[in-house]
Amino acid sequence: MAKIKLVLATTLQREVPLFSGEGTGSRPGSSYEWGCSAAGNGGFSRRAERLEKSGPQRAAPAEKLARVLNSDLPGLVHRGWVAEPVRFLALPAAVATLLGGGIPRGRVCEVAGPRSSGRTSFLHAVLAAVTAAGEVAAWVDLPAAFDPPSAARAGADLSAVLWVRPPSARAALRCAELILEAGGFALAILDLDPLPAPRLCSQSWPRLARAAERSGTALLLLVPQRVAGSFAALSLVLEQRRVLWRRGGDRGREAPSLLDGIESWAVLARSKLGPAGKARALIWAVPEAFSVAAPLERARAGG
Amino acid sequence: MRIACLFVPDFPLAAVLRAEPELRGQALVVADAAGPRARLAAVSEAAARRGIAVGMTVAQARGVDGSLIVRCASNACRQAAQAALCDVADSFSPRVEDAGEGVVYLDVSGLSAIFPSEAALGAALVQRAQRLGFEASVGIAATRTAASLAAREGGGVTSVPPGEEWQILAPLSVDLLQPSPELRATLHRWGIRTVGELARLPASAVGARLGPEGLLLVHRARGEDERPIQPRPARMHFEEAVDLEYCIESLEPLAFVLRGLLDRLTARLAMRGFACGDLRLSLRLANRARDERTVAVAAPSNDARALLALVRLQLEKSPPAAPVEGVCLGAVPERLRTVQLDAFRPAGPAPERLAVALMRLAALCGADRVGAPALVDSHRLDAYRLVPFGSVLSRTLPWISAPRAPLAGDGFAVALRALRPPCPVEVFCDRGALDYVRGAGLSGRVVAVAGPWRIQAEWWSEGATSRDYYDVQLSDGGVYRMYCERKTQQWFVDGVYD
Repeated sequence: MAKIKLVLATTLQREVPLFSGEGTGSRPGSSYEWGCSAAGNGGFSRRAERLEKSGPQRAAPAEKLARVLNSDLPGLVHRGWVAEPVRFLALPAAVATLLGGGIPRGRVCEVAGPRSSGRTSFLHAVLAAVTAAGEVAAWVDLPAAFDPPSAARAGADLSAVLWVRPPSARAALRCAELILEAGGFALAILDLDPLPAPRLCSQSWPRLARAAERSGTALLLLVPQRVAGSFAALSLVLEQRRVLWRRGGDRGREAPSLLDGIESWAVLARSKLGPAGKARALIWAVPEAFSVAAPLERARAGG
Repeated sequence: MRIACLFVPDFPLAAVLRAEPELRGQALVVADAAGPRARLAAVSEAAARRGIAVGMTVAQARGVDGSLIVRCASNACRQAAQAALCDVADSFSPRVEDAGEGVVYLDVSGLSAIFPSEAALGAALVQRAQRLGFEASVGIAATRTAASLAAREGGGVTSVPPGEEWQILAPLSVDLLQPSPELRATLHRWGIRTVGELARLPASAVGARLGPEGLLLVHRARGEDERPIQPRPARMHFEEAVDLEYCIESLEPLAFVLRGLLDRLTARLAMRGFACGDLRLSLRLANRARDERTVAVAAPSNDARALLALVRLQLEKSPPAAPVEGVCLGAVPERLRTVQLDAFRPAGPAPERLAVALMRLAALCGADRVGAPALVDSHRLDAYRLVPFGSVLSRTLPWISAPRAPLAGDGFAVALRALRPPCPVEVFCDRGALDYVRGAGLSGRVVAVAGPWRIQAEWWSEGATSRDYYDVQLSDGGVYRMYCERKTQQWFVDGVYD
């Protein structure tokens, strides 16, 4: 089924279909969709309506509509899809700026990086922001690596998190699909470290992308390296820059005494929603109550 | 007072047809017991057209028509059907009397505010009974007897207006009062054919000649009740059962039987506004043993397919020890989570869809692997528990929830990726300091280390732990949390800072 959409190119960010419909094209089985933006005036839509009412038997209504619009606004008509406004998850400003607005709902995004690069910390921060906004999230945890105390200390409301630990990679992908089909979840995180067989993944991305789009749930993949290819709306790659240690203590002035955090370098490697290539450093700090050592060290320092 | 009588004619046949709806329209007879000498308790219209009548033996009926389908109406099947009929009445009125064998009375006084007329109320009753697989008729009158006569005679819906009982009931056959065979013969000998003729006789004279039964019959003919309606206590007992005519040895045919039971069970629950909670499965085995098990349902739902998947999973894990002769499936009724939409909070998952998704996830991963994580008040660093994911909407609103703990600087909290179970590692020391760590999937020279910090927890229990924890950065780039078990002096990595 061939689909053609006609939109006005004046305000791409705010294109809203003012008029749309379907008709039978010149070839049997083909159909056309058309629309024009809010920038158009009532005259266009009335003429377009007349075209639609002229009946599906007429050949190529889209072509006719194109001619009508071209005659009224020459040079401002192009073919393409009507861009729907992108809705983002509520995120901290630092993260939202890096991602060019945030994590889009209804899309697949991936967060890639090696061990200790800060990717899990990044997802905990996203989880905390989503649950703080009163929304519900799901974490599909293939390696059973989710640490509830750690997520709680990052600020996540654990009662709003559905935690699923599938027994196999195939089950993990199916679980993600079931959660997306259920609808109502703002965020679904799929932890795939270590990565399953590439064939299994490549079969799943289209299904997951479609399910995410239908449900309006943002699907975040946690992977060691980028795998989703063109199915990912955003690809964020993190790498470890340095590990922050507090020095001093019993073993000498320069000896590390306490883990302070990890500094990582985050690069937006791919974006379908804006320019890619943005990068910034992110610091993942150990909260006071997080490390078992921190209270003891503080007591020592106080003593 | 207005009383409705919900009546299912040929109840043994209706009970069988409810369990096996594919037999509808076929030549079917229901025997009161197993074996060729059993008497027929009910025959279908198709069987009656072939000359088969109630009271014949199975052997006689088979002699008339060899292609006859014979079923035995087991007690389990009839009880489940009667309970389903009571559920229909319960969905209308809290005052319901179970009169047994396809008859239920319900007090419908006050329902005129909901239904425009008694005919509409009766039609709704018939429609709901149809949803549970019954072809029922309804009679509505001022007394139980009058309602019963109206239901038995009219078919469909018969409403007897107050004060018009006599005109409607008088022409009915006296057989509808269900006299004993001897009494019926006497009445026929006297030439009494209709209810009206019997009602006109003086009660005391009939009582003197026919005894208490005759007196009772006259009162019934006059539409008078011997006692008022006796509502049964509200029951929250949902059970469906079937006695199999042959033993089932494999899972597939058993799943087929279970699907039918679940369909009927969920239809009853839905009619009462409940969803299915935990399931109780009881299998009667060929070795005279019973296999009792409980199937935990992650979230209440009426999706029979998803429930069947859970039951199948349970049976696949531990199959019955012997062939199955009978199946009984009970459900714990639970209210579906109600959703109160909020002007300031986004709508979460729809309860029905969420329940189905949770059940499918539980069937796929196991019930103990799906839920909401919760913290445990413990000194153990790896302590957590899983609670049912259902309390989402009851949690505190976001703007009045506890404020997030402030972090040092403008950074975010570092996360730990847990290794479950902890990964055993070899640790090499150089001059008393950790130097090299080697284990499955990780190895490297120690770049930086902080610790140890001793954790001692639950010393009073068998799960007592005493560990020395370290934060270690290795040359492979990873930052790990590792510990030495003091009792065994073994080293483990239980998490990666990531």
